[in-house]
Amino acid sequence: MNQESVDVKSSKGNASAFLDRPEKVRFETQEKGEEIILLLRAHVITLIPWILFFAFLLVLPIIAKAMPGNLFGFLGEKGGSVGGAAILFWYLATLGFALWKFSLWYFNIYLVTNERVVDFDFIGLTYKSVSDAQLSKIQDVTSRMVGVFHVFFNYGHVFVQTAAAMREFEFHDVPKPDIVARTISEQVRLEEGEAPGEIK
Amino acid sequence: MPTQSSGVDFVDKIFNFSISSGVVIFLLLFVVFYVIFSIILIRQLVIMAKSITTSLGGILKFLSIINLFASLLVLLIALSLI
Repeated sequence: MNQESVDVKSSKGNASAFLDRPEKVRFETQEKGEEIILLLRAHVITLIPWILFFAFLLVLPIIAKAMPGNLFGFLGEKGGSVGGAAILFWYLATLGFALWKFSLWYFNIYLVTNERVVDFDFIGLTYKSVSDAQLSKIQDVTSRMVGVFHVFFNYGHVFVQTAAAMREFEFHDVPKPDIVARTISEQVRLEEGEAPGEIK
Repeated sequence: MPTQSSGVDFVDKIFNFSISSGVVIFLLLFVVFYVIFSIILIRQLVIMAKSITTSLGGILKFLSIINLFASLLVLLIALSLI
């Protein structure tokens, strides 16, 4: 079993965006002896616009209530109960959409194993795509950080070029892209030293 | 013979009835769509958790079920307003 570790501190919490050899994580098509070296998600900073948006949605009814006049006053005597139900629904929908958004971030995962790279894509409510590339098919790995945010928060994209007929893998907004690229390259080198079909 | 003020009251009542009913039906429609969204969310989370097994997967599925029950409760409340 390959025990080389990524020489970087990583959070052990399962909701982290950069996990080195995560414990208690398995995936659907994992083979016997296949080990997860890195588990990656988009950097937490990419969630900030959504967090601010949901915070705004949560305080919106409070702002509306602070306004002069009764918002549901035009409904007459029914105004109070309809308003109460509408606000209840508003908070439920806001929390529901927050749960949905968090789940999409949490399950949109890139894996680097000792055999391949795997990309799990969940878009919206009805789209699922899982693609993988064997390490032996990888030809080139490039990391890219573009812009102030990427450099300041140390996240960016990693491009994995596979054999000509296959498409390029793109790891978007992952933390520590240089370390990710280096780890993939190391795993490719280790894989090249193995006999075909061998899992170490 | 009805007076002018009682006529205005009658029109007022019809106007208030239609506006409040419209708002309730509008709310009801939103809640129905949200219940459908909650069901699809559970299904999606089951598929996601099956693809990748993590410690948080079960908690997220549980929260999505709570979300469905809460949306059904709001649907009942909205129905009671009709």
